[in-house]
Amino acid sequence: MKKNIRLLLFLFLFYSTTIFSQERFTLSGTITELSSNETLIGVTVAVPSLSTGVITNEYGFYSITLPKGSYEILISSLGYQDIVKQVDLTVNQKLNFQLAEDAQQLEEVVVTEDVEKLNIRKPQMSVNTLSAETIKNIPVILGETDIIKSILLLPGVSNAGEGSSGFNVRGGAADQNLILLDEATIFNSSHLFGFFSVFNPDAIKDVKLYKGGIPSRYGGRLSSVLEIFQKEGNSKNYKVNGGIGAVASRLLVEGPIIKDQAAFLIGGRASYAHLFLPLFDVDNTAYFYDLNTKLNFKLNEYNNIYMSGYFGRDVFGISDSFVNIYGNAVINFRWNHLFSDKLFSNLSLIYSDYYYGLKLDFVGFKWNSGIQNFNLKYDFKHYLSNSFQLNYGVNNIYYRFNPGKIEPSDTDSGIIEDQLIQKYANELAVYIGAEQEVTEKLSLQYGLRLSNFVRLGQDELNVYQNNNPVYFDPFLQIYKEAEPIDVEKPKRTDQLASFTNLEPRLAMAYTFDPDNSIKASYTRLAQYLHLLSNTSSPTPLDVWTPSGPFIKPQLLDQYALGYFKNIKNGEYSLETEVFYKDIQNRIDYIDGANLIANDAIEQVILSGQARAYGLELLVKKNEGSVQGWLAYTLSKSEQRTPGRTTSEPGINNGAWYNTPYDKTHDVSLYINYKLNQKWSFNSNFVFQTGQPTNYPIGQFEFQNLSVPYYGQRNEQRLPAYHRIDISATLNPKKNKGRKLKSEWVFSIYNLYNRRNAASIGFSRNGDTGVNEAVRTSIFGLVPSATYNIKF
Amino acid sequence: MRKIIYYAVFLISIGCQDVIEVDLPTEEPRLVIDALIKIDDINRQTAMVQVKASLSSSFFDSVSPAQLEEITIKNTTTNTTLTLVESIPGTGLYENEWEMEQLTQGALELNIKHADQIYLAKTTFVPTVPIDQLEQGNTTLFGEEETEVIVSFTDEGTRDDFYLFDFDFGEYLVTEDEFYQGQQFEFSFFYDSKLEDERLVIISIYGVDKDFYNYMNQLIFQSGPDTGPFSSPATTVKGNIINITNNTYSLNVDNTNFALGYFAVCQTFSDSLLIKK
Repeated sequence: MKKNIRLLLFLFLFYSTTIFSQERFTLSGTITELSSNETLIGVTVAVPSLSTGVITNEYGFYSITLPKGSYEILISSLGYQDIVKQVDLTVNQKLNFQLAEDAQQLEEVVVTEDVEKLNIRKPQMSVNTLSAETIKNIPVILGETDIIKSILLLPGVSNAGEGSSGFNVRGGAADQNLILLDEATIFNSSHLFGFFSVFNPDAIKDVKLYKGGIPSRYGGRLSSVLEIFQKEGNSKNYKVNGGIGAVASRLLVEGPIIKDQAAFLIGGRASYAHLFLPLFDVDNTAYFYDLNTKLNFKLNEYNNIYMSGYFGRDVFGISDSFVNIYGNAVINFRWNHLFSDKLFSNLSLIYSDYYYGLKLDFVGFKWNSGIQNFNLKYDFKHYLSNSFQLNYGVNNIYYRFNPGKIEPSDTDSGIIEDQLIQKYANELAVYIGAEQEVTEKLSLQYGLRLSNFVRLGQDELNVYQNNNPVYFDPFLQIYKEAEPIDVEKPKRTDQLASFTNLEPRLAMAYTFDPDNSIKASYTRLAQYLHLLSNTSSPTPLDVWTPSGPFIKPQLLDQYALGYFKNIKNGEYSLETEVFYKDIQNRIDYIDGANLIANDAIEQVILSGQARAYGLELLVKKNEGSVQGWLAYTLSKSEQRTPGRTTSEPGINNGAWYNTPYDKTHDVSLYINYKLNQKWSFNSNFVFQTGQPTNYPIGQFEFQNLSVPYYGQRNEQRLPAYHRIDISATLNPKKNKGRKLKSEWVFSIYNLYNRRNAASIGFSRNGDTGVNEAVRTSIFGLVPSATYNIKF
Repeated sequence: MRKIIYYAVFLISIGCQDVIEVDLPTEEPRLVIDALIKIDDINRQTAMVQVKASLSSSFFDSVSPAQLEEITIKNTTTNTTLTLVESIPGTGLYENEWEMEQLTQGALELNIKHADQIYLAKTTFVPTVPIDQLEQGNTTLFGEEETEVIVSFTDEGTRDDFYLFDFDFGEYLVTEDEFYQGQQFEFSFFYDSKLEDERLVIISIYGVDKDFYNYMNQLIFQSGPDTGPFSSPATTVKGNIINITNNTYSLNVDNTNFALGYFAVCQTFSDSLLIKK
């Protein structure tokens, strides 16, 4: 039996026999930052003589196995000074490196050659990384550094406009993004309905966005994986970092608990309590805060322990009549263990929770909803040789969904307390994936994920005629909610539905020469959760619902092909990709569906499909005093929901229609210019095709209402969206040689004050009785200043 | 709810609105039937039945009255038919008086002939409960320029009720009793503007069925102010008036030539409130 498995593994992995033919030894270790002991992600450990190398993982660990011999090892990472080290590899060796920040980045051209070469060779495509430094440099609205707003400048990423939450990757919906903060799932990434994102930039080390070619260790969302790594904390010195901005103030403290061994980090951010609202002469409050904490203990060479936590809330209130509180909470325990110098493991125990609460006094009720999950992950990285790495692991998530509980807000209220039926589910996945250099020119990344989703018993489950919760009225020609014919009361341990999916992932890179490669990938993904939202932009009160007896999991097939090129030895780089995505079981809603406080959501949902395809182009300048990128995306994103039988029309007559995030052209230009040690300048230019919308094809009167009516969905578009933002950063001279470093950031958002339409509404003016088209624009020109300190 | 969120977004941003010119697509005018028949005193012998027929227009034009070839209401339980007539020619207003029992008992059909097309709608009478109390409040939600009216009524506990409220000035609201079955329920309605002193406001409650509730819910939303990124897809809201020209009573009704509007017979209660500054 054991032999058989081995044989299978052998066949499956194209295991190259050459690795047994020579005596080989492993070089492994951790790479950290010199001044803080912060582990560094994505550092290249290259062996130029063999033109091979590896990259440190999320925990700063690397392992490379080479034939016995003497090598020159080059350790390099953008923004850090290189280390060149002579290693005589005659036994397995542990070598930890510490990189110093490259202070003279301006004068000295950083050797990035090998970094880029490796990227060219790696089969991983459709991925963008942003360092905390870049994110901080990008000019943003009101100077509030923002991860989500930064990734919008990348090709293939957009959102539903200013003041809308979430983001859309390659024509995918906002609920198809897996947002991981230190491996914990974040369900809502926005503060204040989308104006700011929930991540405190000071606490962030690195951000990685996968748009396609998603490795088998990720699953559960179709369109992207946004991995955000928090800093671990400085185990050498105490550091304080803070800023005062137009919207919020931040403070972050980190330092050693035991020098070089254990460290803590605690960061807080809070907006001002009555943000903007005093302007409106109303007794209102609107603010948000978040808290990031992290502890790390280096127990010994083989064991590291991390604890991290996140807590964020938005509070929005109008007098006492309307109070709205929502946010995420995450707690996470991780244990890194090295079984050997080739086998790295990480065990994570994660609890995460999203809460939404609302009090509406003028209707007399309180409302609470949320989603909780317990997540256990055990991941292994097996560095078998310098040309073969195996990743495998298991992941189990238990979910509890509370679609809402309504309670009377006071004793006079006529509202009767009611708990909408809570839902329970379990998602289990096992995966295996390999990264393999087949030849000098060809490398592969392939894997398989097996996922299983079980919808567990709940207090009540509706039973419908023919198992069909949506009824099509053939007389009125509209879809209606079907009346349940019975209600079952399953036990919690019952399986109401179970889904199993095999998700293959495949990617390859073929390198023509050190500066040119082509890559191709295929990804299949299953998503078992659905965000119930029929608006262009998700709102915080949208609830998540699991797949089950009436709702099938969404399935994606994505194909991508790309050409990658380094120009002038990596000073410039070019990435072009084409992609095609096909999504099954995308849910859509019947006309007039009520999604809020709906205890039988299956009655308003129909299953459809979605597809997206496009071309992405990214030209980057990686070195020198002027850096930046130009991103262009040409794409199409549409969906349809045909009738279930030939006598039904489906939604929108079953025709394909543009998704609200379909943007034909999307151009972003970002430039960073370091004038001297004192001043640096940044600028963005954004141009996008206006988002799809509906213009009325007519109007009619019913009672005292004047009602515009509309044709097929999303056939018109808003005017094109464009703007320029600029910022200037001042590092005063007095910083030199001083422990306390200060910095001013001045910025102007929407420099030429364009009134970009966030929407166009059609209604009758109540005062004049005349029908009007009203354009709403959110931000005109917005200047701001932020003051940051560090000591 | 979405409206509230949208206001919130608008408030915290430095947003602004302006009127712009837009070229709009158009379609052929459609027949529009406003056949909301209000029964305000069920104890009377007869009730006045009024139906308004009009033609839709492009958004920036104005709607015009429609001339029907025939309009009748039939009680299919008693097999009695009432023909409506246009009292003042050219108004598109068709009316006639009918016995209360015919309207409130049994199944009703509205039959219309217009431009060689035959339309049909079906409904039954829906009862409701009276308004217990109307009161002026003094809180505001989104600015000083608002007027609060507090409405209370007692839900009937033995049935699932759907309600339509008419707040005058073309302001409507729908609610259902899912969370206050059999209770006295009180809520506030906010007028966007400060109503003038001594203004008499008439507020009505209508009993509606679930389909009409859904219909009005969409109409209110679609005729209301723009809710930006939080608006749901806009459509042609289909009512219950179908085109049966080519198929009488079959399941293959004409899916494209339907008329807009609705046929409903609703019990209603009204109350008035004198607004004080």
